[in-house]
Amino acid sequence: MIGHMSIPFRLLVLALYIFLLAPLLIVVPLSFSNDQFLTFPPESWGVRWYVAMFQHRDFVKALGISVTLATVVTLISLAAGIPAAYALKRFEFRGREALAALFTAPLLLPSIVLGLAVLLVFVRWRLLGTWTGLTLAHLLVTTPYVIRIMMTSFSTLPPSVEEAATMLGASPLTVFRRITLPLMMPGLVASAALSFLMSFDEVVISLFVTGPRLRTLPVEIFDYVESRTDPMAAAVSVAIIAVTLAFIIVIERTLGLSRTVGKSE
Amino acid sequence: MQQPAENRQTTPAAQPAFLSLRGVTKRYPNGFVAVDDLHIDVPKGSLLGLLGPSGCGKTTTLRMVAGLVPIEEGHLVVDGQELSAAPPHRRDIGLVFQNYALFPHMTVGENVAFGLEMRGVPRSEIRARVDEALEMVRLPGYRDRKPREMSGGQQQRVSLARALVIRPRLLLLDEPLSNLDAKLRDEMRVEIREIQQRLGITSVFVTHDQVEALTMCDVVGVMNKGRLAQLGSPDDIYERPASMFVAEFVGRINKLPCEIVAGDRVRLAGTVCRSAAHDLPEGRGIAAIRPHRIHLTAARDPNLVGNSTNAVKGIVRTVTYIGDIVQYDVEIAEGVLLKIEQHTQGSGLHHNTGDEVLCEWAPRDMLIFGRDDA
Amino acid sequence: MSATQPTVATGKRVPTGLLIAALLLPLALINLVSFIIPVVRLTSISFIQSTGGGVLTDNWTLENYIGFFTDPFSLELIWNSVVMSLVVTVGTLICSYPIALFLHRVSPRWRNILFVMTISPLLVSAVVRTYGWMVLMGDRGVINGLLMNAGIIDSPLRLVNNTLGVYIGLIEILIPYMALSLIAGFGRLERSYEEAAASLGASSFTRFRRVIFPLTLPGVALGCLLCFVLAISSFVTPKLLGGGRVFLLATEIYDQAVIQLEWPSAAATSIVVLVIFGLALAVYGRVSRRLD
Repeated sequence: MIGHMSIPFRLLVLALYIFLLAPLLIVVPLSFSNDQFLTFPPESWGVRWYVAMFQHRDFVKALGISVTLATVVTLISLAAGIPAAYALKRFEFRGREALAALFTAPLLLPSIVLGLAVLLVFVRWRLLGTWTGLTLAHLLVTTPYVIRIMMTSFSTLPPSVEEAATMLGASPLTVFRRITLPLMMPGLVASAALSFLMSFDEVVISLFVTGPRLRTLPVEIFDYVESRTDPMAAAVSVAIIAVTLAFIIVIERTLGLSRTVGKSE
Repeated sequence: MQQPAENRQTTPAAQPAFLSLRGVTKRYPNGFVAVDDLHIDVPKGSLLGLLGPSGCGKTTTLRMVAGLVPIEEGHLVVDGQELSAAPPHRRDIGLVFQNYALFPHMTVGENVAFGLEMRGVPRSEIRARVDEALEMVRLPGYRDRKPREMSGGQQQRVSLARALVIRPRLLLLDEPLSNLDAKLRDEMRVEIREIQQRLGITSVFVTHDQVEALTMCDVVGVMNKGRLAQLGSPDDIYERPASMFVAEFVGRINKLPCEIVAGDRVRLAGTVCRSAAHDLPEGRGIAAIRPHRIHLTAARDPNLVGNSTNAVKGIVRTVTYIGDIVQYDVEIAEGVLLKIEQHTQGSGLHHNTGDEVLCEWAPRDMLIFGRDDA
Repeated sequence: MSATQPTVATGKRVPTGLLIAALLLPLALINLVSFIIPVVRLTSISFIQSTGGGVLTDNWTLENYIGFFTDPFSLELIWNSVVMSLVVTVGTLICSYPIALFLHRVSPRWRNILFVMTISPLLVSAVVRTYGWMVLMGDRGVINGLLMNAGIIDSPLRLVNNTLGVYIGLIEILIPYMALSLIAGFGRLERSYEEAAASLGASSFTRFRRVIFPLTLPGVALGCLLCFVLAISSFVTPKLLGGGRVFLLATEIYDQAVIQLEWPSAAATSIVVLVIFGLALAVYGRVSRRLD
């Protein structure tokens, strides 16, 4: 039969999925180890490291910073990105394509290069280790996604629907409130969730711009796992995976993960 | 496609204009002129069809009337009011879109109610008027459906109801039938015309389909490259096209090079024929004859045919049987083919490939245009 | 128009140009401050002489590039990075192709959930995923623990702090990107093609080699480009799984910039990475044109 998948093929795919998901799944049991060091199998089980995580002042502080930062970055990304995406989709003007390319260009450059570039400028402007600096650096990562998602969202909303409302007597503001806004809601929620996640996960650029007193959670974990091998990092990882999963569900329910993350539009 | 004559009495100039375009022009910054100095008057209650190929400026014209494209040159007057500078949401004009443009997040009822809400109509009255509008488009009971649960034809009816429920001073229809399949299109054509006449609402209908324009409209404006090629009643447009462009656009037609001899005489395939034109300047021209206006008979001596009819001998080259008609390609001179359509009567096929035949047509059915006009 | 005609009130019409500018301005400013100026600065600083330790002079120079290309160590970095990226790209393709083919053929009911499972790892922080590999492959990690308990080995296998660990970690991290590109490219694959090939007598292996694989090549090319550029610029995984023993362009940029404070050298190295990016893109352009 054509398109039939043989048992060996299915087993191969299963093995590949295990390989793909192994690093995410393995931290779950290990986070419940009560051992001093990371060993497998653990000699004792418990929630010792979850307790330790919440008592670890650096992690708790970094978590607060990351959540605040991701929230601020998400709000600014939407506030700046949605009007820009609207302008790029709804109006014809010279240089439109070029601007759209420019706004999504940071996606194409490696984070390590972007991180260095931002460092070189922010060091002169005294923005290293500041909220402003971190926010600007994270906006660099999140705005291209907002632009891409919202441009797709606006292109599935035909202008004639807004025109129809206008012809029925709705003022521009009413058109926006009653027609445009409700129709772009799925794209808006997906952009917000992805922005938050991108900012919350960002590590490479953050490594360049964080300061000793303002470190994000991924930077904190990065330094921690580089030097130590106790199971606390596993507990933190599980926490982060749980948060990420919640956001994935939000994105999947609103716009669909494939349309949000997919390169093909 | 002949229509009863009584609908055709209204000539544009006979009644005062309700909708009037005066020198309306649309220029783009790059120099392209989408609409060029348009003058059109439409009497109250009439349906104006704007007909033309894509890119001829008909949709731009409609959107300028709607206010969605600003009028920077020329004037738009509706019911004695200058509307050129009014924003679209204050024009009180109903617009029906090709893609229906129903609000996907609202029910049918909410869609139709939207314009009334914008006008601050009280809730109780809204409900009654929405029901009435849905009744009019034969969709009673559909108020709580979502647009995506409906067929294209139903969606277009909702769109019509939504545009008409606000009792607009004008109804604009932008290729409303293009997205529907052929059978539905015929139904909707009749339905829209019927509603338009019942309400007596002055309307503009944009289409690229000559059948829609000829069957539905009181006045047809044929547009080409931003200009009005001809404005007139459907039979004017069909029987007395102002140019070869119009003649070709509104229906199939034979285009034959001819030599103008004098007066109304032209030499066509070696035969001198009489045409509908008078006082033609001598020289080369194009003769245009509609395929179904040519009568085909078995070959006999052309001299036996009366003087009032043009007759040319030819040989049948191809025969295509369609059902209600048979199409013939008849060679009347070396390399000159005449397309002819004959109604099938009784026995069906009348002539076979290779038969010698005589093609006859009345002088009034032969139009002559200058070469440059072709 | 004559003044006698009543006119419907004119609304305030904001000039379109001004409106567009206002809508674009906030994002343009963000882009300027955090993208354009930094990239320009990065480029210019790569041509500036430094006296070491983060002290810059005002002199323009090619020294940073000359230094880079005459230093055997940096040439080794390029070699290491390019070889690693190529190996990782091929490895990722081999691992992703069956997944993509499976997703293409599986019933729609399963496809969505499996699709989400395939690309979800993309959204989990690279630090967390790399940490997972440290847990799995460390000297006292899951794999060594299992093997030693079973008595198969006496001393732990060296799986991390070397190139092998980096290869494994990167391949896993890049699978979702490759799978996404492949799935996008599989759109052209219709069952009727396979059926046509089968009706002409092709065996299942021949059908794959002569029909399926060639049709999916555009997706393969795109996925390879993506994985190559992501691998060559990857930092977190080589840094953590390499344990400071794997030297690549990306880790070098970080060390030069953050530890040695040699910004002009770091900038020059970054430009070299961007040039490799450009070359990869050019190769992709030629390949994908040939495929069309």
